[in-house]
Amino acid sequence: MVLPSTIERMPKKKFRKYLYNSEHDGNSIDRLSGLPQDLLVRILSSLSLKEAVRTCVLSRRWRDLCQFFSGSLNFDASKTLKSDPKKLLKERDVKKCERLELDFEPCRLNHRRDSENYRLGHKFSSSSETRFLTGLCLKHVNVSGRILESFLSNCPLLETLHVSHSEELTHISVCGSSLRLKYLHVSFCKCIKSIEVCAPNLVTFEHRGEENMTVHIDLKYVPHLCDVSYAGQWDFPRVNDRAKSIPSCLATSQLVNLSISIPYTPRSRSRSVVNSPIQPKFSNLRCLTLEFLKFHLPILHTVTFVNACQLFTHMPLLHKFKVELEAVEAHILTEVEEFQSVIWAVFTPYFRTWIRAKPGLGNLDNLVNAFRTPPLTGKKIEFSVASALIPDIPASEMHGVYAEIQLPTTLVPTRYFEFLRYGKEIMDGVHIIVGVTSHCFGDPYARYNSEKRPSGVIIREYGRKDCEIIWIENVEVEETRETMYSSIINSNLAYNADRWISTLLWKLKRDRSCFPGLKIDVHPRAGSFLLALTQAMKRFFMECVSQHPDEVALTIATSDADPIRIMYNQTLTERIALVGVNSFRVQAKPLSFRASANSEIDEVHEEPEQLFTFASDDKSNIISLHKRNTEQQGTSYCLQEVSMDKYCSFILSKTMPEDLLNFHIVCREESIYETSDHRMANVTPSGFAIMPDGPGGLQSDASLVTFLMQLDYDPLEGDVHVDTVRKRFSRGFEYDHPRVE
Amino acid sequence: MASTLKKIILKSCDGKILEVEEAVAVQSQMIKNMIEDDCANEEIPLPDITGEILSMIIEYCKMHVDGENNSNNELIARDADFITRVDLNTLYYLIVAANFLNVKSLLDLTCQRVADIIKGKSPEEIRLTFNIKNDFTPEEEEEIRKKNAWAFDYKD
Repeated sequence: MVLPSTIERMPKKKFRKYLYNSEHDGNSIDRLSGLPQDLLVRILSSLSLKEAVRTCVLSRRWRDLCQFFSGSLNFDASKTLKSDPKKLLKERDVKKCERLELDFEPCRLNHRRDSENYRLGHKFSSSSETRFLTGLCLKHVNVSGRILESFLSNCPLLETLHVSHSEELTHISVCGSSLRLKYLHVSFCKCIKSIEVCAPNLVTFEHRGEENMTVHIDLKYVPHLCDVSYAGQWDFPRVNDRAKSIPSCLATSQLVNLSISIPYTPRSRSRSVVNSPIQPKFSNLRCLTLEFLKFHLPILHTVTFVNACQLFTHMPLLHKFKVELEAVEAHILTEVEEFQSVIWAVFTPYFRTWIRAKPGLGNLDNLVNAFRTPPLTGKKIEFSVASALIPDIPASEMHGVYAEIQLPTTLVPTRYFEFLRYGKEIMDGVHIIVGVTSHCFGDPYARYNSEKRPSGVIIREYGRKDCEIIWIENVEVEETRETMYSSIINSNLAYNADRWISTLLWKLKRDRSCFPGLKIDVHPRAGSFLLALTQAMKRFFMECVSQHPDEVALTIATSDADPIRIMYNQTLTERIALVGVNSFRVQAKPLSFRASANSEIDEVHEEPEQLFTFASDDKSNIISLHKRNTEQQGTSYCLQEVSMDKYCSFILSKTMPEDLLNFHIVCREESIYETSDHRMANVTPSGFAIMPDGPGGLQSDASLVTFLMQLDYDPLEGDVHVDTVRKRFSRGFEYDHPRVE
Repeated sequence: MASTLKKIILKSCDGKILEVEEAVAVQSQMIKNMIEDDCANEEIPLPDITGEILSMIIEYCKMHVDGENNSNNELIARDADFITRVDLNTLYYLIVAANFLNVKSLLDLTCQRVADIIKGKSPEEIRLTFNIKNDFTPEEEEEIRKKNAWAFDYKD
């Protein structure tokens, strides 16, 4: 005999009281809430899920009732449940529901235990409501294998089946010759013991299990299976007896994408993936992903050096190999770099590698140590770290950081090396740009005289608007490089991280220049033209003092030993244009020398009228336009840029004919100088650069000055001898382009 | 046919005695079990069901037995007619009694009726209809609404 349990549970007296004290004031008593819980749940279950959940605000009695909701998810009732984040019911068609997605992720409010998952009853799976289903997704829904199988047999159109976090699922058998199923996903089902698949149309199979659970997987007949992704311990029927190899049943020739997740267990090491050579070939495999859940260095090394080669020889078509690491320590980053370089070295270049690691970015010291590596013999490492706060730029916009690696003098050889640089958001709000010399990837064409060890920039959010950058510079150079100017190099002034940071800050300020006092009208986009033109002028200057100037543009006429360098500028064809460069040391503080040089220029020409300045707010960069009248040439204009930072000051100028000025600054929008193709054409600046020579920055006792002068000759005058040019060049560093009369 | 004519005697909590044909009485799973266990030969006391409610239940069960040959739609119409005549107070007693006697179709009908009354009402209207006292603080209520915000999205 079955007695309804609810009545038994309620003490008789209380129940009688509940039942009969209504007779007097029957309308004011909340008799509904007084009903036993299972009756209330029964009532709720006659509602739609949404309405049932809504009752949780009625009173405390009702608050937790809706979690026992067991009603039919009646598709005719409404289409109300679409927008639910926790409990999602998607319907394509109200009457002929095609996709059903239930997500009963335990909400924190109810502090539900896992065992209290919503349970999907047999009634639902066998009801006719489901016969049009093409997709079924059950998350945090306790569903047994028997019910899933009944779904499969009742839903002839089912193509997608996704089951996760079901605690009742122990065995699932997806078998049937008429199954349309293309996608099968089973994950995080604690009790699952076995999966049996025999599905003629299955394309994708994904499984993610618990780390310490062994699941028996039997892929019996899957002729169209090409994407497989799995994680956790696996117990596949194998041809060979080696434990935990890539399952032989997966090593079918049709597989195109394979993704394997390797849980970290100290004993398994790399055995789990690659230890046993794969006997059958993955002859069609295009993409292989290895994910290391808890990254452990020995695993990486084993995979890399011992097994990777073996692994890949069985995959002739593989063109994408992706390694995903979940690293905890910052020091891993260097190892990741190494791993990547080895991958590059071992495998063909067309083969792309992605590395994703998540370094813990707490302590700067840890980070710094991570980048320290011992130098090779005969080399030394120049290492520096600097950080700065960049205002008004969110971290996400800082992917392209640019820095030039050359000093503006002919006396210090240019350092050149090629390196690969990649930028990536490695975790929320933290971006890295890492550079590794391409030599280390085995690029035979890489030109280098020094090597960039793993260096990079870490950019992280600093508040909502700003970002912080940490620059790590790590360069390997020849130890024997003593010159009279080695003091600046050795004092780590020229190439250190602080310099790149200060250059970056300077450039950001320069880009935000404005016109404080205007005497002529300028076009709204004149500012960007000025920045582009003066940038091109500086590039021209750097090209002229470079150890190996661009041969297409400049031909050196003097010998290497000559302290003065004379070059033909081949970009200007209408006249014979030469460029003279002289770099020398001056026993004066950089700032004082600059001041005197500046006043000297002003004395040469009478009253140049300043038409405007275009300056950054701290005057670290000033672009100005001057007008002057001379008898010989009439009115001419001179554009000048004065830029200054701790490491170097530039004063560069260039004459501008009036038409060009009108064209580019006053009325015209487009500028040819904005495209890099034209940057060497007719930018011809004259001027000089001043660097502190020796330690102490701007307080240094000596300066290294490099002059650059344009020297033009009329082609009708006949050939020009280098000696004549040199004589004129050294006669005096006159302002502007002197012409031979 | 003798068995169908057998009478079952039911006694309500207020002392009312009702004689019911067995065919009608077995609509109640509980009574059916008692008959099968041979404990229904004497009067069956029903301690928590009044005579009034008991007669209604018997009326309902009779309706179902008599209507066995009728079409399904007609039965549904009769059910609807029966249940809409019932006021809220009576409805609770019917639910409790149907649960106790385990008359599945009546329990479904009565619960469905309550659900129908709830349907389409805002929580405030539901409280008003059923005299449910809101014992949450406004903050608590707000928090619960927030956690279940999807359910309070009345858009569709």
